[in-house]
Amino acid sequence: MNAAGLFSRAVDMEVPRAWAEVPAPAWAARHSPLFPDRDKSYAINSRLSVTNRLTGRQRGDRMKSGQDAGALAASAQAAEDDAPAADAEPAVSSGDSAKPDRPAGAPVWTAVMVVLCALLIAGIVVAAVFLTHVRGFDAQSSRRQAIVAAARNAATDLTTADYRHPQQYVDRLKAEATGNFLSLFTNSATGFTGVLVQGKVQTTGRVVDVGVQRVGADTAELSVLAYVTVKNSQTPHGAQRAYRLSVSMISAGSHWLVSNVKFVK
Amino acid sequence: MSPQLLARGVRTLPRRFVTRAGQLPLRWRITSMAVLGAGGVAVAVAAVLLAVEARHDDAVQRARSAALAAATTEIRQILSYDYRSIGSDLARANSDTTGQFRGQFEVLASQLISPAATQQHTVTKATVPNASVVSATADQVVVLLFIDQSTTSKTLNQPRQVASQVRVTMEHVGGRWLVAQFQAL
Repeated sequence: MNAAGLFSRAVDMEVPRAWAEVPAPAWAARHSPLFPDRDKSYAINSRLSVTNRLTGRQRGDRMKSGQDAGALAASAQAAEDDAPAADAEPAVSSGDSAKPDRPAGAPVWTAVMVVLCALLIAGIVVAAVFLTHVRGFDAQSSRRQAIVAAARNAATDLTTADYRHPQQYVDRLKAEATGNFLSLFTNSATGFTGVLVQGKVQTTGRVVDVGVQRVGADTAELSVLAYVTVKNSQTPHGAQRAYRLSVSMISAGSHWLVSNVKFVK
Repeated sequence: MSPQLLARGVRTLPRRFVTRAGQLPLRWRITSMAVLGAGGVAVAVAAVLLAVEARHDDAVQRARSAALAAATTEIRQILSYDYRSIGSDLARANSDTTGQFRGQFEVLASQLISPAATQQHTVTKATVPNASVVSATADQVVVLLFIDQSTTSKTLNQPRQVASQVRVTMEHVGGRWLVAQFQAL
């Protein structure tokens, strides 16, 4: 019999008793098409669901025995629900071990589900660990960028001064400073502006490169190389010098402030 | 919750679950298995991708510190030499280089440094007071170095101190971090 023939017409066969009593795996037994028994018959409908069709004599036997009335009803229900043969087995196996509320497939299915759940949970835990790791690294990368940008700004502001606007220079730096570096301007701000004004100092700084020495949770050490053109009363045409700075920074919430600046000899 | 109750729960729960599972229509069982399976595959793929990413992040982190340390010692070696041991000094320096800089250094060493040092009895010693990382990937790290060089020779009355700054590109070659580019700033 070819497949087309199988599906086009209903074939009356019956589930072999021996097969129905195969203890496990019942799922495979019920769904395998490779159980042809010339003497028995299956009912195969157009929607590919295989259900038992009991002969009149057998049905009579069942009714007489009275044991499987419920199972028979379940079988009919299953056929209507298009749940292929989920409960076919009890209908056939009158009086054997298969109980209607616990088909043989359930433990296998449960075991597979438990393993799948365990694997899923394990996978989620592993993924979460790696995700935390990756997010931490990304956060550190963006923090690094923010620190470098802040250091670059501060170094430019530090190396760019104009004796005509000394207060601007000091105010700008105060906004970017904290700790030791800030006290430099708060304690001797007048001294700073005095030097600028007296020496007619005009400097223009250009930051060439910024590198990171260390980054901690809320402190960082950076190196800044700046070329500074200095004009003052002695050198009115200006002279260029390389400033090698080691800049310490401290996190202040969302932004970073300069806590110390050292010249690297 | 008492331990007895907990133990009883642990004992009976699987049995109850199996019993109830048996009452589920087959279609539901297959669907739930398929959904769980698909979820499992998705989570597994995500975990693998994240693991690869995390591994890469670690590699970058290691590259940062290893290349910084290597750059400091190798640049010191490359810029320090003594006319009495010029051959071995330059050979050692050459072994710290790779790529583009290797060719440049070979020419520089054989045509300029070696003859001049031998002729003028040059001894130069470099120190790196400050080193920092400009940018990093897993196999290439750009480093900013502040260098002080002290040089003596026949033509100099006293040691000459020179401060310089370089940007060095380090590359990971055969398990070592080597100087691939050298740019004086």
